[in-house]
Amino acid sequence: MVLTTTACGARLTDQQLTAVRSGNSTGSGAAAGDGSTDTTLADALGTDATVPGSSGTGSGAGAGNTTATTSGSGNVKGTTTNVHAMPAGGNGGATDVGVSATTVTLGNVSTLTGPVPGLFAGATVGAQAAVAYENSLGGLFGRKFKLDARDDQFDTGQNRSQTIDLIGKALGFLGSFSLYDEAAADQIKQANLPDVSHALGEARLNIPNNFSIQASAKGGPLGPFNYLKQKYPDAIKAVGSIYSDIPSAVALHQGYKRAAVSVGYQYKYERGIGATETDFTSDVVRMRDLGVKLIYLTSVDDKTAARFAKAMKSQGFKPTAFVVNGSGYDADVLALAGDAAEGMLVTSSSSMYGGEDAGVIPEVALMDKWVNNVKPGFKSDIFTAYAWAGGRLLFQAMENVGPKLTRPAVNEAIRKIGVFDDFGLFAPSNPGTKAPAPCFIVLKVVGGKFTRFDSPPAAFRCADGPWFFG
Amino acid sequence: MTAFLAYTVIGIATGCIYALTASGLVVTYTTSGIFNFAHGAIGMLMAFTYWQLTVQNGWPQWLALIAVLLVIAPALGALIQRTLMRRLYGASISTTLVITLGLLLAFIGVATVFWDPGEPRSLPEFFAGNRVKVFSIFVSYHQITMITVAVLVAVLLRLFLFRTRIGTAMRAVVDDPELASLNGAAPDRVAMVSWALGAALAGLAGILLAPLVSLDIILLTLLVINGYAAAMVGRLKSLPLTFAGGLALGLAEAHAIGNLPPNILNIAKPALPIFFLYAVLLALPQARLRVGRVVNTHRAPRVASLRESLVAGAGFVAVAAILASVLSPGDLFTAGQGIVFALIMLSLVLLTGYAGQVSLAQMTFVGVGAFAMGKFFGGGSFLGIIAATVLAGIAGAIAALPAIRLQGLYLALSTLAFAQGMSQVFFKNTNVFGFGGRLEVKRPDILGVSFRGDRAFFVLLCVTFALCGIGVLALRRGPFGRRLIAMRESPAACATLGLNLTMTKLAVFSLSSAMAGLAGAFYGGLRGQVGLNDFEMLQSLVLLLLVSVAGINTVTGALMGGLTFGLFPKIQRSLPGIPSLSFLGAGLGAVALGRNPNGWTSDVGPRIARLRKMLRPGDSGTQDGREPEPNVAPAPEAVSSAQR
Repeated sequence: MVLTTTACGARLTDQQLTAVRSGNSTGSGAAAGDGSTDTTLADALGTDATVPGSSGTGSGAGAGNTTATTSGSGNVKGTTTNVHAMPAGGNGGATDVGVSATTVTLGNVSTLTGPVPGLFAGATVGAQAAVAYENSLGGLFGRKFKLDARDDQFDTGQNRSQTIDLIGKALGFLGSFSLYDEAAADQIKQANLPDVSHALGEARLNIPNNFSIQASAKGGPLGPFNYLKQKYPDAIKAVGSIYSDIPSAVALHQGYKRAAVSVGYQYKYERGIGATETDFTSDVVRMRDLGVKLIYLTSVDDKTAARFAKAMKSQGFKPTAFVVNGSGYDADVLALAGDAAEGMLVTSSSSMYGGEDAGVIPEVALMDKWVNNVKPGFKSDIFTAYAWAGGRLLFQAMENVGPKLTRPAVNEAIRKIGVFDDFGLFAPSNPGTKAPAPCFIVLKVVGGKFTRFDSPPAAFRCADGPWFFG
Repeated sequence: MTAFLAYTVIGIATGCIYALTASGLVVTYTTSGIFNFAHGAIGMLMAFTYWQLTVQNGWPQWLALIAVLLVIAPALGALIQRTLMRRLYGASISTTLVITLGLLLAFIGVATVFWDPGEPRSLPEFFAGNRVKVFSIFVSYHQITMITVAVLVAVLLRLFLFRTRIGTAMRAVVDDPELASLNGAAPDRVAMVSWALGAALAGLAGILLAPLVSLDIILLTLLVINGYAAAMVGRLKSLPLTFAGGLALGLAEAHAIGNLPPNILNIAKPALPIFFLYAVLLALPQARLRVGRVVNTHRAPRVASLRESLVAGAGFVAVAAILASVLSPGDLFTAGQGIVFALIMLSLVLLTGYAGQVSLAQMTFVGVGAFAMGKFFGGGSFLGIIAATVLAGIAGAIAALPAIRLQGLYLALSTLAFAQGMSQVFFKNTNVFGFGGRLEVKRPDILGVSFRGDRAFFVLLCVTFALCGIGVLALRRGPFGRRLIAMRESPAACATLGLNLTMTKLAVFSLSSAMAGLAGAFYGGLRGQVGLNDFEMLQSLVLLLLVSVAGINTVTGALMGGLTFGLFPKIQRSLPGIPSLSFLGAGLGAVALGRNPNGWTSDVGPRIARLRKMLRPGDSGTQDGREPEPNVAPAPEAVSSAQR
């Protein structure tokens, strides 16, 4: 299908891609920063574990042996055993598929070629970086990790065949990323192998052994909407929204809209845009004439966000707030929009993994360092971050299991980890229970750069409201 | 009132975009007789080249414009004419369409190699930062420039084509190059000028549009599709009407956004260009029947006898059974995918190869079939296969209704509009593929035998292809097949003899789409699930390209085309050092098709026959393995000046 997907067009891919990015769930919970137990957040995440606090207490990231952090957090736990060396009595050898005395094979099926070469290459790179880092520590229990990365070439059939092939060769999946990730969901479920990949398709997400770093859910986050309501109380009475006209993005928009309406938002204008639409002057003029004060873009790609910003600037239209959900955190938006993006707000459930948070969140720096090691010059994206964090989660679970690695044991260990935020790289979530992440940060474009806005320097806002499952 | 005027101004600006893209398309068609699918791709290449010269290399704008519009673009156009298009005089619509499609893919590949699609790029507007307020909106100087250029292009081209000697010669060469040559025109040279002009216009459109839509390889390439409706208003020959069509579409879109309630707007806006195109096509006067004439082209391959086809079918199934037992699951899937696409291409052999009717909606019928298989009778039953076939056949009949009035390129474009409409209205409907955009399709149980396993399903698929192949050949040998060939070669003669062309077309469209629907049932079953991305209109074009390259007149061509399609990912994986292999393949395929419109498999039979003759000199049989009757080429679509 390479030729057909080529002809098909990357625009479609861009729209689905940004639907993916926008699926970052945000919500609310306890106040971050103090490491105390919070019932609301714990209930939201399906655990009574302590909420990881700010980076000061929540990060103990990864040099050498694991170190203690906030108790009950999903991050690396304290241990004094050298988990990297071969145990005295051996590690049990080939304890399961993909495991030998010296190696553990992990699989990754991502879209690497097709209409946009390297579409989800970040996922493979992130997984490679996580594996390389873990191997640099010595691996686990005398075994080093090997990543068998495959390309589904933006084809559901290829995804299915590659996935099925890897099920017979790998202990589990790490960081796979594809729009066709449901192609072999049944087989993954039947094999009961740990699948630490961010699922896009519902069938893949719903299998018990999928552990998405930030599972998506129906409905939408109340946190950002409550924040905007508090910040711009008049603006929420006149909202205009643009979203991509593909089913998954439409569903996302409708969920977000229901959440917003539940807290008093009133939509004056909304439109789903097609793949080849490039001119938004009419939309801007209509929104202006309708008195729209808050514009919210959902699941639009970087080029569309940039064009919309430029259309607003060309018409001299400055709403009270111009908000793009998660997918707006993209350096390409700034490059394309120029000063038209100044003042744009972005709500996100990930830290600024692109490097802006490297000084305050060591995990960001660590990830960027190892990404650069495996692929010099590569710019980390959200897929890289998902895969990297997935690796950290998976290796922690394997460490907890011990040398006798089996698929069911690793699955159980992941579930027991509970709340996980990868040392502040992501908002806390529970991959085991698939509860959406309840926290978020706000970014604002200032001086042509993304900066944290009304958000703690190295943590997330968790007190603005729960997830709306309506 | 102010709001109305404001949206009118916006509509004029948008409409000029459509008019500009469509004008170049019309000029190329008027002066070459070829509908150039690669027009947008040429514009995209020139826009990127202009960016390279100005933004990257620091050239002054005026110098870069001269270099691109007066040197590079015309040279590219002349090169295309010289290497590909000059052989296509008298070629069928399907041949010219797929060759230009091959060019489109090749140009995308070239652009991808030189300019990484992942890097953000933008072109500054002309007179950036300057704008003027008109009613309640701001119009940039760049937009004013574009409007002015669009108007000038329409006017000047009209004058050029109808008031100058060279323009008249360009139109004459399309009608009859030999006659034009006798009158002193040099057909080859004039044709080169035509293509050079078309490429320059494409480049002009690309450079003007890129600052507004961003430097996006795929978007710039496909933007021209929005202009098809405008081009149809002008009937691919009138530039003023094309301009008017573009304006009409732009105005309709702007006022729709400005006035419709959101819930209606979300349905109406994406469907607007499609319905516009359909309305224009249906409003066209009924096409005159083409008169065929004998030209010196390749002759069609010989049709296998019943015995030969039964033996070949049995052999094919036997090979399939052996492969099913030895191939790994991954390879079995790859082979199965190839056979599924071979089945889809077989439906095109019937429709386009035999009947000469071009459909750009074949994957749509595949999608209808997959949908029916997944949804009806519990999903994955034998009745589901029947439903897939019947439903797709009905859809094909609906798509063919405009065939009553349309022919050739216009009919092809009506199927394109149908495919786009189905994509917007049917496949995007959440009742079809759900909010996730995916539908599970199970494999069938037939008469108590389960075909859910990979090996059993593969054999069933191959048996189905064999049966369909035998059926298609039997049909070809029979009276219906002879009617199809006659209709392809001379519709006027058929009508004179009392043949009901309308019913013949409807019948062949229905049969072809039913076969595509049957393939859809297997397509879904093989993959386990299907989604709306699987049935996009442009995929139909690629299928047409591949089966044309392999041989659209033969079952073997369909098989080879399908296997090529299925095996290609494997080939690509084994050659990772050539990332644009698919594009290269498309370009080479286009060149090959230009040299042999019957496809490469059409040469296999004659070569075998020659070999047989060498080995057994006394054996009679046909001289060269081809059909004895001459191939009658259709008259070109571009009509004489009497019809303007």
